[in-house]
Amino acid sequence: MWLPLLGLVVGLLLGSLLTLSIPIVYANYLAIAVLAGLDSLLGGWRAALEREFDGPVLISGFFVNAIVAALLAFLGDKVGLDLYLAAVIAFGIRIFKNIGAVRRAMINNHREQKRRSLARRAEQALEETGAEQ
Amino acid sequence: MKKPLVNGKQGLLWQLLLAAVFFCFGLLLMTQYYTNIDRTNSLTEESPENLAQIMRSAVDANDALNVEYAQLQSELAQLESAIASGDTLQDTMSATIDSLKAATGWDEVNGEGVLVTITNVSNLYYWDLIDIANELFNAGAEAVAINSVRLTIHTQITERRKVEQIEDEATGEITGQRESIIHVVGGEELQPPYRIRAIGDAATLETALNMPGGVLEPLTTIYGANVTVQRMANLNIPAAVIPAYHYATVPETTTE
Repeated sequence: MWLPLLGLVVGLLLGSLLTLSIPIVYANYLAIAVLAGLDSLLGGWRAALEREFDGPVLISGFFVNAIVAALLAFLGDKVGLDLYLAAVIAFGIRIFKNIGAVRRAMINNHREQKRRSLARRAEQALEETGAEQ
Repeated sequence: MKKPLVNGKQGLLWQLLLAAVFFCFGLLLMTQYYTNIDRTNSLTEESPENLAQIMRSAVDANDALNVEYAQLQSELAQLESAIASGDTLQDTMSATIDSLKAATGWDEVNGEGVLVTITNVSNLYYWDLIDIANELFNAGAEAVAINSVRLTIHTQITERRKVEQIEDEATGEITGQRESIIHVVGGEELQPPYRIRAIGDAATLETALNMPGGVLEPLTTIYGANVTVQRMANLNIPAAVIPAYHYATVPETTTE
């Protein structure tokens, strides 16, 4: 669980240490790739919370989505269509959906844990009363 | 429906892969962050109005700098001409001219020195004056005058014989003639007492003149002249008469 977070922190630190930057004309494509990557990671988090986590799906989704989104924006620039905006909207909506799902999943998990502990306590109480009798 | 998260050895592998993905994401995010900083700093994203404004202010700043540049340039030219005509060159030129004036006797000069007064000059020869002058120059005198005549390279020191007819006071007849010798310096006949002024280090000049067996000693001991040497804090020596030069020219190459 902590290893991916560590990877994120190391990536951020390395990125800020290297201060990498790409030519400004490609800035939009990288932005859309970042957005796609964020969407994939949130989707992965959601899947993990919903106990549907699938490694290959996440990793392939992360890279393919990022590359395809960038290519789509590039293509849109070439044909004079703002496909870039389409990608922004699509990924934006998906990100919010994923965040909502993550939120719900966390709440549900919390509730379930609470219910389980309550149930366990009730069982224990029942057992204790049964023993007393 | 609810599968458990993969655990164990395979779980660790997946976690590592996930970490790699997150790492890539972090790197991408920071790269985009710095790219965006570049973009906001560049002019390509500015609106035409902003660009026009930026350009106008840049043009204004450029104009102001041009004006300042021209001002500084003219100031520099002024200073350069001031330097060329003024300070350094003029200083050296005037120093050279001053020393040349002193050397040639072009101008009167002032300074400390000695005053040699000779009375009772009847037994003196003109070369005694030359000896005294040579001794003074030898001792470092920078300007020497005998009575009112400044000694220069053109000054001749010589003597003139004068023959006076001797008349009988009662009859008016010429009874004989008296020959006298007049010392002439620079064409002027000297009238006693002779005053020789020399500008230079007074102590050195005085010592040179009063040396035992020096230039003055025979005059007083043998010829009966009355010679005094005085140190003077401030002497004035007049300018010399400098002849016009017609034939001697200075080659221009040597002026460098």
